[in-house]
Amino acid sequence: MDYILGNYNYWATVILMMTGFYIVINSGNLVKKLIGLAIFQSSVLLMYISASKVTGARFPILEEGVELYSNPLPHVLMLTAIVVGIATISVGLALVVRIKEEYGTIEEDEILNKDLRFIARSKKEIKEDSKKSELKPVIEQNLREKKKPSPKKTATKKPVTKKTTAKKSTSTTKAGGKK
Amino acid sequence: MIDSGIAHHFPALLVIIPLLASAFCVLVKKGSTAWLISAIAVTISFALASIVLFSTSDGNIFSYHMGGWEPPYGIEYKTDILNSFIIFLVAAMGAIMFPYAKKSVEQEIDTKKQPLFYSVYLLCFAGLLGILSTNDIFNIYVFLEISSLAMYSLIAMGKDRRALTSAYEYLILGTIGATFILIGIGLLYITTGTLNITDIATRINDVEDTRPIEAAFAFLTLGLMLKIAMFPLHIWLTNSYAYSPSFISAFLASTATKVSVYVLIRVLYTIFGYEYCFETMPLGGLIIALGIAGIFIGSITAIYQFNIKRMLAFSSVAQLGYIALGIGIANETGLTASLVHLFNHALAKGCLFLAVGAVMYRINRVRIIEFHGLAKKMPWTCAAFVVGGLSLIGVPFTTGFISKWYFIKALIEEGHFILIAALLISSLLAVIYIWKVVEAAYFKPLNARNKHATEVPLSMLIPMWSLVIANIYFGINTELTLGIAEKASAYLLKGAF
Repeated sequence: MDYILGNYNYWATVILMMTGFYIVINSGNLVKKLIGLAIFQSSVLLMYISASKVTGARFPILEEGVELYSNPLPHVLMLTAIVVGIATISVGLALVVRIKEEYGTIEEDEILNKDLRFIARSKKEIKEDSKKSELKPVIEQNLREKKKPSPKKTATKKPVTKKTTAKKSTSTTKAGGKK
Repeated sequence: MIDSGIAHHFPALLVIIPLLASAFCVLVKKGSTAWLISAIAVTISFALASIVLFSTSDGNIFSYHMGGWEPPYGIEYKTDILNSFIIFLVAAMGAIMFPYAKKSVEQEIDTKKQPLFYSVYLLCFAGLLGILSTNDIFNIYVFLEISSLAMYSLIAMGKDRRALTSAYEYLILGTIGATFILIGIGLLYITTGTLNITDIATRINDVEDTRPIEAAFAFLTLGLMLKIAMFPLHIWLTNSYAYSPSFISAFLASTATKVSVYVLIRVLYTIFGYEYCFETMPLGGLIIALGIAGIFIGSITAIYQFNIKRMLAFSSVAQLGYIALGIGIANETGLTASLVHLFNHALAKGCLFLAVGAVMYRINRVRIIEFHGLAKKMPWTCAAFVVGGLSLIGVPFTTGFISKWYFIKALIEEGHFILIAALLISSLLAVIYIWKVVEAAYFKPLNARNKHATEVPLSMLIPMWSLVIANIYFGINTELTLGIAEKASAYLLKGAF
């Protein structure tokens, strides 16, 4: 019993830490995950602060007649850790805002589905592309062999192919960027 | 050389100059001005790092007291042969690759965001150098977070929208890792009462078999393994390398994880000491097993990727497996091999990512199909990819060969003959995935979309080819890399060389 009650500050640390960790792992909502992360991070603050307490000691301001002071260093360290935590959470939230703009959702599984669909589509594209790239050179070679004596005609034909390829590439990049 | 006058401040200045310059970059409106400021800062850092390496390479240790406070109370910057070697590596990669950034960033990042991009890049650079220079373990945590936060935002700037989700993923996992490290540091501080690494190392012997130290050991190794992206904890690495801006992929691949490896080496060998980690605790076997698993699963997954950047990211996981293997073998040759491979892999992977980034610059996508017949259109880029690939595989006369040779030597010394076979087979796996790209570039007919691709501008080719030349040069002349790595591992294991 003494073991449990005597170390209550450390038990609080452990419980907070595990709660935060569980939320990070379990929830599919990106904002909830960040909340869990914040709880997880702040549990460490408690651990440091409770280590600085010295029984029967005074707060660390120099005064005559006082011998025993609490340790001020962990507080300073945790001030830094708090700043780091705030920075992390704000970067995380900024990322969530951007994700919402791009994907239209902040649920993890929906994002995953959208990504999988995108990958499937681009795999299809690759298959089609590889068929084309195998065919095209053959056609080009035939054209060249046939029209070698008249360079003017090939010159007029080339820009046409340029345009079509350019169009294709722009349309695919659009599809890649926006869906 | 660096113990008098202004030179005394060099170890601190090489961190502070990029940190200050990053503030100036925010004030500037034009991307090119910000680029110029960062280029100057990065170059100065590189010059200082070379001087520091030069003066520590004969075994001198320099201690710099931040703000004039004596070491156990104030923050100490300590440069010895181990960290000056890695400081040199990070500063060199940052400086050599930097000219490449200009064109690549102009194309990939919005004009408005460009000054901010360079500012965040400098923060990341300064953070990495800070982790390496400092001798205060809490300071390591702070710099780790500075560099990681910068990395999250750099990765999120990628064009692909998946860059955002991968940055988010990295943020969650990276923060969990960093918090684990923070808990470990806290437990060490509670039991030893100090944050100075040298001080902890001397005091830890008295409290070595207490439970908090065991917990600190577990938390620190786990947190650092997450940051290194060792095999089961590598999920964040592949996506974030694949979708970040190409310059950032190259920079992170060749520096970020290496710095975390340095911290792990520091924690294991300097703080806890060889006996505690590998004799009292069964860490060696665990690291070797995870390393081998990482090598195989990383390489095999790399073979099946159709996005080349993703493929290289998985190959990075495999290469980090090699580095972990050397740390796990824990004899002098193994540690030497790890340190050399740290350097060599940075050169090879940097070169490969720059080449892929060049393809990204011209063609906008880097799937394997975009590489079809590219050697005719972009001969220099493809040649750089081939040399980088050869170095990754470990062909003689490239840097990769040297480190593989030392890994095998270390394994022979310990008598792990099965692992030697595993090492050779895994090199063959590297041949497969590199060959896939080389075959596409050199032997496949030209992809119709690539008709108008031309060679990238000179400002991108020069950094790429400097790394190619470095890959070959350090494969033939190993005096710098191997000499320093041998000294550093002797210093870690015996305390002197």
